[in-house]
Amino acid sequence: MNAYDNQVPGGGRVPEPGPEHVPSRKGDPIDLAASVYEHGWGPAPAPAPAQGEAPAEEARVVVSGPVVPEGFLPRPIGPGPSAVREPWSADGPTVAESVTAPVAGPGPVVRPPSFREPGPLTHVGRKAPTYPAEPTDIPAISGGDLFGALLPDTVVDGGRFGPVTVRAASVRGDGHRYAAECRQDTALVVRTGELLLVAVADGVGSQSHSHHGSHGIVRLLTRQVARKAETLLAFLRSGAETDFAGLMNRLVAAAAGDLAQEAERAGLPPKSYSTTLRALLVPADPAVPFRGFVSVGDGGLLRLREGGWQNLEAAEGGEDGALISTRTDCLPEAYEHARARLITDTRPGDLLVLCTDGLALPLLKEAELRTWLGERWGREAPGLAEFLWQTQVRVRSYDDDRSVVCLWEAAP
Amino acid sequence: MQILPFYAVCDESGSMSADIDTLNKALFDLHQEISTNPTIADKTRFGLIGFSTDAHELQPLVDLSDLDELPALEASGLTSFGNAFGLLRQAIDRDVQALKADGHDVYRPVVFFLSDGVPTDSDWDRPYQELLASSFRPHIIAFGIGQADRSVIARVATFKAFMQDEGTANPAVALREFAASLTRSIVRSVSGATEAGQGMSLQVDDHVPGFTSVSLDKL
Repeated sequence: MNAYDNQVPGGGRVPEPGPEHVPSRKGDPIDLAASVYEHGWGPAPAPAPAQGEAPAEEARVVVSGPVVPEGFLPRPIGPGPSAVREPWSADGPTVAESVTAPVAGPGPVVRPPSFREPGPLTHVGRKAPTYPAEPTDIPAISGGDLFGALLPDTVVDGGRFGPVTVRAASVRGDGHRYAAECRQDTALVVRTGELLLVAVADGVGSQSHSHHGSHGIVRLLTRQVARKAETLLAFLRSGAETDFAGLMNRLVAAAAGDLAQEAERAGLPPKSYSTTLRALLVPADPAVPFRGFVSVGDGGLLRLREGGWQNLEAAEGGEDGALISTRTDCLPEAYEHARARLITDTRPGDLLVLCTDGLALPLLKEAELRTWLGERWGREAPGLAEFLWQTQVRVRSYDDDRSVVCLWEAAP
Repeated sequence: MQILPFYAVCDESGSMSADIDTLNKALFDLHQEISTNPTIADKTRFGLIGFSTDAHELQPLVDLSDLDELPALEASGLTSFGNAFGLLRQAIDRDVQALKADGHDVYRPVVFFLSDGVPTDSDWDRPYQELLASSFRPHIIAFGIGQADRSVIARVATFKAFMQDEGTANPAVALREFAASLTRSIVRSVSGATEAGQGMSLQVDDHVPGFTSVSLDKL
């Protein structure tokens, strides 16, 4: 079963996004959405069959069967008996109807409803959040902070590297959207030689320029890691955890020092750049099973193995006695040392989920969310648009930014 | 879910009779406003305690989206701060434990204390101190209504105190804005290594339209 064959009770399909057919710039979902809108059509038409050749089976609506490639759910592309109403567009016209609807005469332009692909955001739990599901007010340049105003609402990234398939997203939370504030989180996917560095960072909400801190720390850590990539790779190959932890602490400290200097050069106290950090290092060589992990502050590292979730940071929760604590260690100043270690028990088929607390908290606390994501992520890696849609599943009361990097280890 | 218990503790003693209609209107508007503000509505549970000679839970802690309207306050009797703080402590202990038993994460509770600030019981400090010493000690923001005694309002507050400006007809909008600002501040992360142990680190706007901020440090 592939990621699109996700049956729900009653025989309906979970409204998952279809495969992405519209050319888009990598990592820019806003442009992706604009592109889809400009075309007025999500998936592009299938190529016309060559003369004398029967129409391709994929050009019809086929939801199962051997002719459908893995992970591919064709959509109807024109009028005819094959055009059916998709379950997630029951209130709107079929694709065929909307494409062939007559153009109205002079008068106000009435745009047809969107195709709702990849589908409206869904939620788990008894009630959906009260917030609008999509961003509304656009953050303005505040106090001369051009950087914050230029941060996109959402970024998505991904790729393949050695034994892993990577999907990453950083999405502004409902709370920041509602207040027209910028995203304070960030996610990073970068390769240096034979080493993959993925990271997430969460600017501390109480600090004015923490989005500078989160974006700055992953950039500065990348520079430090790139300088020592060969050494880090050697430690990972040999499973030298103590050496790895020592070096990573020095690199994080150096990156933190650079971040503090950036704040001071901007005329701001380093504390205003406060941010958490979480990173994983993955060697390209599939024969090396070890992954390097480093963190400062709250967030999460979880593993999905054979359908079950494991919290790999079980002893590092943010609870302060009986009530929620919002205190967290953070860079560049408010921490003693980074927690660095090796993950030595990786198995083929595992999924590692590295995330900021915007996702870690609901994932750890809400069983329904673990089930929902577990069903979707316990399969082959989804496409970028599908992954983004899944990442945005809504849970009432959790309105913080979410950043997540998922590493799908190649299946055996 | 992550839940912030939010209690309004309102004086409905006889001395509040001139202001009780205003306060009821304010509570009505506050309910309407904050139940539609997702920053508050999605995270908070709201409870209402009225106090005069005795204290009563007029509205036990509830999801505001499940509530059509709040009960009205009725002015009569004396002004027992002690009974108010005693009942508040019991309600908080019960509610937080129940929320946690249901699997929720709970923020430190917040109390809006509204009064004309003339207690008629002389020993209210004992139950007040017991409230502050309890496991789930709340943040208390005190609002002085009408002819409130500024020093009493400042003494009750643990975080912020405000005095209503003369001629402010309806403080609901101001309270809503303050509640939203407060909620945002409570749920935002703070740097732990430097601020741990320093108590309150909430950052909210000191300016509440229609009210004058009262400094706690000077009293």
